[in-house]
Amino acid sequence: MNEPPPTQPAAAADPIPEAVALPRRRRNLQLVWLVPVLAVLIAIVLGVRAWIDHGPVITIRFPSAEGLEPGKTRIRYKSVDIGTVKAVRLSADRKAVVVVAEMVNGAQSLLREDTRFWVVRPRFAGGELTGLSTVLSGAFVGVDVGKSETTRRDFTGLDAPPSITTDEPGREFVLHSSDLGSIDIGSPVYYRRMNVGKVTAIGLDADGRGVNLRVFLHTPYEGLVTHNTRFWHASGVDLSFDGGGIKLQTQSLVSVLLGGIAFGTPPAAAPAAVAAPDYVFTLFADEARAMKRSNAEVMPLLAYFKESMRGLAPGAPVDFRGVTVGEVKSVEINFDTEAREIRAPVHMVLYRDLIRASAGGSGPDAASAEELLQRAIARGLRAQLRIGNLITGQRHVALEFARGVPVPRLLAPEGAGAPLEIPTLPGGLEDLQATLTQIAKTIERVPFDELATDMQAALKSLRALLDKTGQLPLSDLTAELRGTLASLDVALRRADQVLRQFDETLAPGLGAAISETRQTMKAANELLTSDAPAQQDLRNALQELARAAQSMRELTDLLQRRPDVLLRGRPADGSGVGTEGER
Amino acid sequence: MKGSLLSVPTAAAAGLARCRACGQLSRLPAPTSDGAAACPRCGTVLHLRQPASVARTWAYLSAAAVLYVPANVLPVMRSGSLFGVQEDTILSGVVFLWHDGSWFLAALVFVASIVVPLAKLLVLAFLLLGVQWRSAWRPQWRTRLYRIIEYLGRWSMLDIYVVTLLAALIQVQSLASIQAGPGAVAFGAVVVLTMLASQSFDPRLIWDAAAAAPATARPPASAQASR
Repeated sequence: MNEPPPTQPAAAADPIPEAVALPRRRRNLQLVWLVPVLAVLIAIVLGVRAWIDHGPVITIRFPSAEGLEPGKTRIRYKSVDIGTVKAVRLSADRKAVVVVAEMVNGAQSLLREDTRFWVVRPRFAGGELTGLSTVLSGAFVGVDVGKSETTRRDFTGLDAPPSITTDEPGREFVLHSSDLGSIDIGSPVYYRRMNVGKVTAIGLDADGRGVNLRVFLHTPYEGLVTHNTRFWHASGVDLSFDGGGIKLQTQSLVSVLLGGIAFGTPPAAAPAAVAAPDYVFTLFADEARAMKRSNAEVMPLLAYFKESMRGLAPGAPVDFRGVTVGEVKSVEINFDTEAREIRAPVHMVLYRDLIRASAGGSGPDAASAEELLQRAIARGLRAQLRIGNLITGQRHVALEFARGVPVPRLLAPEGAGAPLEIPTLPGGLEDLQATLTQIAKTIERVPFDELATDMQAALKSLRALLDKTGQLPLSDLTAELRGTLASLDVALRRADQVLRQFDETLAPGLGAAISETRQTMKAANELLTSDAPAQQDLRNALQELARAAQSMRELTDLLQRRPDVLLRGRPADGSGVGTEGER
Repeated sequence: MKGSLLSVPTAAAAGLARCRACGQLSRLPAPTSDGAAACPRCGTVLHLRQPASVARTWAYLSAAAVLYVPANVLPVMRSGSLFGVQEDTILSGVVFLWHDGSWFLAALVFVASIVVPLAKLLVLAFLLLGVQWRSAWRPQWRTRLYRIIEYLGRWSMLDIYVVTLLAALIQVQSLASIQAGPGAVAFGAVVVLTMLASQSFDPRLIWDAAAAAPATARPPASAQASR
């Protein structure tokens, strides 16, 4: 503070230099104010961009919020993020979860009336494991964009992902079935064992009497479905016994494990129009039932059999010389009030196409199947029950032309649509049975008791006769005998004369003949000697015969002990049976 | 005490100016000459006070305040991985750290990235208003506040450093990638603008205003300034 105060006179003395004067520059514009203007512009740009990026806010109802995290869970369409879950809260009735999601800008067009949302989690359905990536990344919400023109903002999410998305090309059909079997959503649909679609929805009928399924066929295959197409359960293994034997049918291994549906068109079916979407089909229990002819393709037939119909079940084949031409529909028992007897009508159907094809015509002008059959019956066509399978005793109906049978009285059916009646023949086995019975009855008629009595009487009278012979007077007899001897002597002498004559005339020739005979005998002897070829052949043949006889005996023994070998073959260990093969 | 501090003679009152570039003290020409002055040694333009300090500070400050909003609302970092893209704002990062249990880190980031820029904005606005209203209220305290603010300002850039480093380092195609979001630009701009604002603010104005307030009652001070 000792310094002189900074006053004007002191300033002149101190060494502080004078500043250089500059001409005044006036800045009218404060350039620094550009900075906040720029900042405002940037802020506006950023804000507008952010605002543009923000799309509509939607709400989705889900049954549970499992795996959904506000701020993190994405909404994805075709693996593209189109939104983010912003909040998860309970619905007002506390029965569901309401997810508030903010979509990206441009997602408005995806929010259609029928757009579907679901939560993608790892899941196993229809033999496929889906959503595996969500194990690590956490669940996300999947979207299937609908086609509706109207838009909406509040949605109800699906419990499970839809197996078919809206944009997948193909066609959906409805199947009606009595029960679901092992089919589930996602079960495959097969055509000639090729996977061509899947089940998209299952549900009960309105009245609960059946099940409705929706199946989706991928695009190149939907044209395979015509109005004649039949669908059937291809689930699991189908094992059936019938008149034709054992049938085992399976589809692919996947369908054995998981169930599935197969379809096809019966080969006999007429070409038909391709089915429209949502066309309703019946889902049959198995392929055989699905492929059965419809009523228009079959002709009813009726037969009354007089024997037991044990083993004849509905579905049993009706064949003509081994070719199946129809099937049994039902076997009934009813009481015929006019004839006052119990009758068992067997209702059958014949396949028209086969009958007409057998007559060599299938055109519209060809005779109808009814006419053909009536003619055939007039010529002797008869129905016969035959055993188709010895083990199960299944029977089938065979049509056969029989000779010498009377033409039945009534040929034409009683009314339109009424079944044609075909006369019957007793079955083959029944024929044999009847014959055997007849033989037995004839034998039975033979009076063995009387025969024995008669024989006893005859023997008695013989003995009596012999006894009488012993008591005859021999002197009378001797005189008679002498007379007889004398006449015999005369006769012998005459014979001697004849022989002498014979000797003179025939002896030389006879000698030659004898020598020839001797030669013949010699040759024959040679032929018959033990080492002669013929002899040996014969011996061999006899030995063979003996062996054959032994084999037969063994076979009959075996059959007696184990009749089942006829069907099953010889047991592998061959205990007690092996000799047959060793020889 | 206060009165003695405020009443001391100043260089400005003596017509002396110190060159900002070379530190040369020189005597300004008479204010009546109506012209600017340059340093006689290095030629830098001389000012008694930073020219248009209040206006500039206001400009930077308002720009920073405008950008403060997008800096906190928009995502700063966009991290993409195999399992989706995640966008983080500064606040969501703090929340994440807090939930993660790293409370110290969360507090640090919160203070450095949210509290400090906001505090700078508010404090600078407060100082500017004080200058404009010629407040004589606790000039010492306000000067200390200014020093603290200027010292802390650079630490706000931590966030930007982290994002920049991560974006440069983590670029594993399709497996993981980190990009700076639009918020990062805004945030960086906020930090830079607040630093510019605090730099353009001349703390001597606080004392000028404080001195001016009683000056109405003291003619000698005004007389000295006029000379």
